[in-house]
Amino acid sequence: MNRTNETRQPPVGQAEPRAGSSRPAVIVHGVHKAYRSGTLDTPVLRGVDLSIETDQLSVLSGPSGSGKTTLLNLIGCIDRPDRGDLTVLGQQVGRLNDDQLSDFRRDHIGFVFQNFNLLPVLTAYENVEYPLLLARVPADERKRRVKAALDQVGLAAQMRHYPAQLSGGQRQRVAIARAFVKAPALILADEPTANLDSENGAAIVALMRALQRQHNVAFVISSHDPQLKAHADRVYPIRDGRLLPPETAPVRAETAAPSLV
Amino acid sequence: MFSLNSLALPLRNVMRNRRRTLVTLITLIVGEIALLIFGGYANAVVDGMQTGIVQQIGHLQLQRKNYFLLGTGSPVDYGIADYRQVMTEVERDPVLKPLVQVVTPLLQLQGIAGDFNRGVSRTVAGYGYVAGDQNRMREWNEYRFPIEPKKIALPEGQSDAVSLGIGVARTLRLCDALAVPNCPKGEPTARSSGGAAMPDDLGALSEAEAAGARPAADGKPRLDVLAATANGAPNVINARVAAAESLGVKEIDDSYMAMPLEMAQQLVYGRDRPQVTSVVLQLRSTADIDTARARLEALIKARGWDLEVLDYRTLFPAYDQTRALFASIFGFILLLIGTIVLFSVANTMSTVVMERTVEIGTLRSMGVRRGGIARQFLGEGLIIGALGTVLGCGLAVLCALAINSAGFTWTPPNSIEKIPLVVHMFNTPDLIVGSVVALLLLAAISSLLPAYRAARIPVVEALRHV
Ligand SMILES: Nc1ncnc2c1ncn2[C@@H]1O[C@H](COP(=O)(O)OP(=O)(O)O)[C@@H](O)[C@H]1O
Ligand SMILES: [Mg+2]
Repeated sequence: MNRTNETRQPPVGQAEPRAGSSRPAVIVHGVHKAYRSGTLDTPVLRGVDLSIETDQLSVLSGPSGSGKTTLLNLIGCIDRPDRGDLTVLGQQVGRLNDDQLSDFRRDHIGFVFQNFNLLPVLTAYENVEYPLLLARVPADERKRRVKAALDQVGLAAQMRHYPAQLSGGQRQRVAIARAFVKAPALILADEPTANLDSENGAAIVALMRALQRQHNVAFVISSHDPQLKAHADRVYPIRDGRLLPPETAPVRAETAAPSLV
Repeated sequence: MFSLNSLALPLRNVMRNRRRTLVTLITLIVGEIALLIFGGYANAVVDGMQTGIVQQIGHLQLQRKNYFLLGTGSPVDYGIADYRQVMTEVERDPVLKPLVQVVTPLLQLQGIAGDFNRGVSRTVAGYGYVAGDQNRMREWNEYRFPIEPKKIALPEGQSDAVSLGIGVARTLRLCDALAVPNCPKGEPTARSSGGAAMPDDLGALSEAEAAGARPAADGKPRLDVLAATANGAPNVINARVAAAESLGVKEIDDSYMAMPLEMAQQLVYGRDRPQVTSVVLQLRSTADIDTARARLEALIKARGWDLEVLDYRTLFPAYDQTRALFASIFGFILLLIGTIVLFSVANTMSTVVMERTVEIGTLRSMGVRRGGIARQFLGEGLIIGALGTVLGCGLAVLCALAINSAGFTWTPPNSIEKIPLVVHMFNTPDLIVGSVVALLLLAAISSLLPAYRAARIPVVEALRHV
């Protein structure tokens, strides 16, 4: 088991820390990625440099096919770039082998997916419990944390429901609880509202915004949904595999988390 | 109540597509039942064969060296003269004593039996028995077959009585007198084509020997038995035929003749020192055969006897041949069932991996290693394997109990006697343990490749899978 966080390296590349925050959570440097189908190379990311701050809700924004998911996958350490390198939470992830990357994800990264991706044979409770089982959290603490997480997403009453017995919005809440429950330093959400109606989507956005503040976690969301941008601390527009000049968030609301549900 | 141990997830996944799981399970269950029932049936046939052999010829026989290979026609040259001493030593031996149930002498001879006045005769294989010992040997039933011990037809304590195989009785035209079944009527009664012609002077010899003895007082027919003596001269004894019996095999019934040991000895050795061709040992349990044989061989060496030890498998080669035949049929069935199980489980697991590709991506993104994914699918294959074999075992046991209590009978090949049809699954754990391990192993092997594939899918591709 490789507890990479204990050997965090100093950030490399052009980190540009904002006032009041420490080193960046993610540094992407000169990253290229192309998909090969047969002999045909489709370049998807063509030289991406970016640095994502901790304690912020960042949005990768761009039209469909612009490379958001590809970039997010690289940041989430489930894919590797063709060129360039990534430093995630101080770790140069290019140096890690597959098992080390798995452990790194288990210990530090949470995922939220467009299609929720809950395990259908597990109840809401068990889905949220799963990451803690993986991390070998003791039973008592597991129970406490799962209940707290389900409480925070407002699904304590449905904890024994199976995903099939939940609505889309509820499923995504369970997925968000699952991502947060292990208190990771980085959470990635790929189009988390794309499969929800606007009302549920708005609620999920508000939930994520609130939880991000509460947990002080680096939260990166990819979306082509303009309403999400309004909630972001920082927006990274992406077009055709390249980052456009950054748009800063309109105002960062420094208020406490709004009440949820 | 919510604990999710490592077994719960694969178990729930197995139960996810019940219909498919059930189909795979049925393959395993039917396979396991087929293996166990056939294996149990083969066991029972072989056990039954062993029982029959051991009842008749014992487990081990002490014979003069090479009698078995060279001397069966000449008891004179291969007789054991000091057989009483050999028997006493065997009976008293501290190692053999607890293992041995019966020690009895046997004199085998070739002879001619006939009623020379009626002009019927035939060659016979004569067995000089101690009738009481033979009856004790026939009580041997280590495998608990549902049959009562059948006494031999040779009566105990009647020195002039013999018994015949029913085939011999038929050729000697003793059907009515001995109540032999299946006797064709209206056959010529004299000079049967199958019988050995009796030279006139021998007929005269027997006349002289048995003068005034025929017809018998109890109405039982009498026969003349003729054999070559030690000095080459023929010897004849007139004997009363007490009964005819079936030994279960027509070839044996057609030549079998049992007589008291003393009568056989008189026929072969005349007034010389009586000898036997074998000292027969029947053990309480077949499992002790190697111990007993080793002890006998040590005794032979220590005493300098010119004897060798032969076991029932050597004396009756058809036993091992039958075992080998059943083993090869079992192997063939195992191969067939194994192949079906292999493909069935492999197909199920491949489909499962396909269907759950996105789930694999999700688990991997949460930090499950490749090994963890492989283990999960391997676990599912093993759960299916375990469920199938255990259920199969349970059902096979029920089937076996049903068959064993149904009282079916059957006639084995080369036999004319009906015997109980039973299934032996529990005499040794080999069959059940072996078949379960084999099918479990196959289930594991057929899950290996799908599990390996599942583990190797790139996470990103798995998540994009639709
Ligand atoms: N595994 C893949 N193989 C081939 N092409 C891919 C693969 N993944 C993504 N693409 C292509 O790369 C481009 C960017 O994809 P993606 O990163 O998913 O964009 P976005 O998430 O912004 O919609 C798209 O044109 C897509 O079709
Ligand atoms: Mg996308």
